[in-house]
Amino acid sequence: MNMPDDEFDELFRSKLNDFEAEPSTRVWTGIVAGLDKEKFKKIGVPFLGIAASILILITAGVLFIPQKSEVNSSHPAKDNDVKSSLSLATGPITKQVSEPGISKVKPGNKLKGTRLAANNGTLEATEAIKQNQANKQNDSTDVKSTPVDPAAFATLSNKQNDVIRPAVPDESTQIAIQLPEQVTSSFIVKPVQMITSLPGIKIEDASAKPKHKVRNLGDLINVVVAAVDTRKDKIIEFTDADDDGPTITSVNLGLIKIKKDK
Amino acid sequence: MMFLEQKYTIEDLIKRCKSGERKAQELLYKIFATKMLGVCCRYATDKMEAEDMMQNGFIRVFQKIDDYRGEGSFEGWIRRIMVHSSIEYYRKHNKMMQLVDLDDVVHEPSVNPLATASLAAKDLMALIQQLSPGYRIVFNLFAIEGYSHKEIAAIVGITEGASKSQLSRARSILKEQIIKMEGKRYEHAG
Repeated sequence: MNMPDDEFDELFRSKLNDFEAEPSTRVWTGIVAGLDKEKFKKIGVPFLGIAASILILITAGVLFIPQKSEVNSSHPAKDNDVKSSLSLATGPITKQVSEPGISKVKPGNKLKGTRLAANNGTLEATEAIKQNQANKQNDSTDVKSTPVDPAAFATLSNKQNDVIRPAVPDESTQIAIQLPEQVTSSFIVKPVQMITSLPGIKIEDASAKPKHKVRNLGDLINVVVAAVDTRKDKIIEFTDADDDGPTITSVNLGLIKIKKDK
Repeated sequence: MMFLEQKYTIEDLIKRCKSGERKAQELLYKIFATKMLGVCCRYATDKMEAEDMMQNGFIRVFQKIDDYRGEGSFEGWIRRIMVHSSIEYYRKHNKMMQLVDLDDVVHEPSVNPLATASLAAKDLMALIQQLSPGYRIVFNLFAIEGYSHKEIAAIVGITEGASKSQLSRARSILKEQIIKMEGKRYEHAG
């Protein structure tokens, strides 16, 4: 007597469908490890996505936003004038305050009633005024008509290169200057105009470093590579020396290094 | 609604598992682990292989738990994942053998239904585990899970004809094994 197929299958189904077995503890450990691994992978993917998005945004910014260099190039003098006048306007004032001798040396300004008070001692304004009055006869110049010796200014500016700084209020030195508005304006503005108009004197702002702008794809790649590759010779480097566009100047693949003279 | 302890129901645990709570995952695993290992054992050669299959299956369960919308029983959903995970295990380990069309088995051994009634689940499991992976998968999917040949063909990636012939061959081998077992029993009894 042969057993039909469906009965045969039913025999297995009925006996094995609810079959149970006790798993060992390693299974749960393996599940936890597997879930943690997948979790790490999931975190990694968005990170790469963010990095790619940033790169795309930078690229889009470089390619599609109108470059500032074009705007600047049309009025290059304006910017420079403003910067230099700002930095220079502070120069003489700072010098005069930090070196009291200058107030004595520079006579002839109409600083009647000027009162200076310093922390480490009182700079007697009356003394200075007396001296000013005494020198007045010999030196009839005032601020407006002070003759400028270019050589003297040049040496002064050269000497004071490290001293010239942006005018930051020094709280340790209390200065009280009362000047008529007219005098003040002439006192500050005039020397600036004179210095900037001096021929052959090039005054540079020490803090202003040449800023390399990202102008093309080569520059963009240089920036990205510089951020990633800290070696002296980068994996790839572009220069913009030619008018044709960016060209590869060096390639460093570890064993293979190619460097083109710039 | 199934109550596990006084605090948790399956629905609660599923909800907590969806938010990635490890403790809830562990509780859910403990509820279904023995049953699902039983499923995997039918597809595996031994218990160790079955545990590997179940481990992969549960990882997939917790990863895909957001896909479970409460339609149908949760146990059925997990069971389907375990079956797919077991088949995937063989695919990965390149053990899908003998899944080609075979000629119909001409001679099929006859088995006495009375003799099979005395067979324990453990014995039947041992018989299935002795089958080659191809036969085992098709027999399990058709005879125990209740899939049609068309569905098996789609799941395993074979033709319907191959599924039918594999099933026929698997039955034949199992019947032969049962007859042998019965013979040995009589020998021992005699």
